[in-house]
Amino acid sequence: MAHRLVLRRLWTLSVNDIRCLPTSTASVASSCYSTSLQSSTTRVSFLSPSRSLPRALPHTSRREVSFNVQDNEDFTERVINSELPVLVDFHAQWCGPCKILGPRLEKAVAKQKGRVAMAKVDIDDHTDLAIEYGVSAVPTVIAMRGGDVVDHFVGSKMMMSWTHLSAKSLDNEIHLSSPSHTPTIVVLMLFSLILARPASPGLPF
Amino acid sequence: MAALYRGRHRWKRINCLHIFSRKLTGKNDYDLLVIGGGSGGLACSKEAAQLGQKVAVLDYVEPSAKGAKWGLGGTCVNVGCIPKKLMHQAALLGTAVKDAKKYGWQIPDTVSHDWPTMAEAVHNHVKSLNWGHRVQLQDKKVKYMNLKGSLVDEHTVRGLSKAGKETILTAKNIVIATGGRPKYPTNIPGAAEHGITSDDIFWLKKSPGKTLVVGASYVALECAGFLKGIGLDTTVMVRSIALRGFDQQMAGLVTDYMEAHGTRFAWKSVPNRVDKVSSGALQVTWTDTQTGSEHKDTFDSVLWAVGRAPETKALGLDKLGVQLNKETGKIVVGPDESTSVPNIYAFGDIGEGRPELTPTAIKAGKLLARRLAGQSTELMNYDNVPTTVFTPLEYSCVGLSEEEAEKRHGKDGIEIYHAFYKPLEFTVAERDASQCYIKVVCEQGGTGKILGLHFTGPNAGEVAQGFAVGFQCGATYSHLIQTVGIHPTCAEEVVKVHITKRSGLDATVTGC
Repeated sequence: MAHRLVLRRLWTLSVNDIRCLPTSTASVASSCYSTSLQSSTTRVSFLSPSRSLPRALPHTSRREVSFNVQDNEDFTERVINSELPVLVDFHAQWCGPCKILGPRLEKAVAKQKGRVAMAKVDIDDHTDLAIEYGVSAVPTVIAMRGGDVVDHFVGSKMMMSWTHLSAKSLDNEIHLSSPSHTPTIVVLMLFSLILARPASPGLPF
Repeated sequence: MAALYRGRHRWKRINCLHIFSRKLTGKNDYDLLVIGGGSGGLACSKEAAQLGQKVAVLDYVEPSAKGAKWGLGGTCVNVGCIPKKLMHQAALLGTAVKDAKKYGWQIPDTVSHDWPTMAEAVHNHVKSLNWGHRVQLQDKKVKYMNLKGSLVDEHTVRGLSKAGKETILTAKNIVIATGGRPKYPTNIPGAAEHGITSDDIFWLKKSPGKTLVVGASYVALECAGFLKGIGLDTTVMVRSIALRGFDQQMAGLVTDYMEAHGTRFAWKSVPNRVDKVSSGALQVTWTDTQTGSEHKDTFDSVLWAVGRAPETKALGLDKLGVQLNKETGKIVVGPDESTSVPNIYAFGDIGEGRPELTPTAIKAGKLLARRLAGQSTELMNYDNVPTTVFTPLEYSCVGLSEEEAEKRHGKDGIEIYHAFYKPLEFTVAERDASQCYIKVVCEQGGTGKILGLHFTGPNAGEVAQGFAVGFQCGATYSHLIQTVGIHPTCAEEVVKVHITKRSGLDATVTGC
């Protein structure tokens, strides 16, 4: 798999090239967004809407940023080969914390306004893929860039902690503390606040 | 991995090459290959891997006749103990809700049960266990393959994927832990077509409705128990006796309780045919063998619980000369789980004469793994195994039944202490406790060693576990009565038994 990733890297744009200055001025922001939009519009439009999440995000006027992974080929194409950094949300039907984390993640990703994509993987449907990425407890979120895993966290912060973080403060977090580097780091800094409390299944033996 | 992509036409050549190379180099793919990823198979493979062996486990679920299939974990996790206990709990909660009114809770007069809610919750838990097992295998470095295994020779196994791809695997030792599946009756028209089994009941998305359960094993009674408990019209059809192999007095108490609480019993009856009628319901005709009369009734579902058959057909055992019991079809095994073929072992439900229980399979699997790794010579002790039947009134036991004790020691060789008690919780709830009973079968004279302990009542499994330890230590009647009871509990009545059956006195416990 390693050699495949190397090849992919040569093909894909380095995310560092897409620089978005964190500023509140609309004009600059819009150009940044349009750049990122253009580079990946073809991909987005190529992807039929039916493959994206049916859940409506508050900012869907822009584009759908999260999607359900259909199979291994889909994962390769839309995650490993993605020009954008991708947050992969490994979740399961039976996992309560996943149901809490999922929408929060989507909200945070949507706030990135197209700089980060989000892939959702149901571990019961894609067990081998989850095992391949070393998922044991869920939710596990892996940040990938250029086909490499750059960071990951397991678990979700308890609901009460999330309510303390207002949307505004989340925005401030992004704007104040982020350098003009890879958006992924920004998102990950956001999530470094989250402590790990994974939903580990209890086994009889 | 390359093996998976071999074309079928090249299979034979590569098969021979593979086996030839193994014979030549003496090197097997694995130290241990386990066929069956259930309670036993998983425990054995994980233990072996922990001891440094190179282990692979093959698990494959052949869908039921109705198309039900499930993930890793075997019968217990998917269509046995786990969903059963959860649904039993759902039923008990229904009773508790009714009792709650007497305890002061303001509960509406009619409380109804929603099957899909329960089913989804149960399925979610089972799926989490499937995943958990998968992760455990990964962590313990056991290679897992979703393939249907069959034996080629004593060191070679052929694995068949769902898509039909073949893989050849060689191993120093092969362990068969494929368990069993529910049987369908062969001579009843419409049985397989219209009926379901325990493989299906736990995976139904919609309520089974008015159900006929055919059979009187613990599977039949437990299923009928929770179906009635969640409010469904339930009938149990019994050919001869209930809970064969268990103490019959206790079995009677279990069925008496169920009858008193609304489950219909068709005793000494056998079904003749099952037909689907225009409304979509199932019409069952049966014969009462005592009177010879025929009856018929319509049901929404018919659940066959008429026994389980070992999964040996597709294993290719006859080819290798692995001895099977002619009557049951199970694999004949020695005390060390060996079969008639050296280096092939079998244990769990598939073994002839073995208890069909998860804990015995797990323990036997672990001990087998240790023996195969050369770490131990300890054999599995199948005696003194406690068990519980999770019927609406639970029944737990360890040791011999009264009949068996009588057979071995003679009527005069045993002393039976017994008591009818009333759980404290039943008093306020105004519940009938006529079938709550304790029986301790002891040796007459001498030390009064306990030969068997039987208990019906709430949380029977929890009550009996501790007593099973005492039993294992060879507890005697005097040990029992020397032990101070915990008050107020049901379990304390066990250490207070003093009325013997022989005396003929009233065994009802009076207040403290």
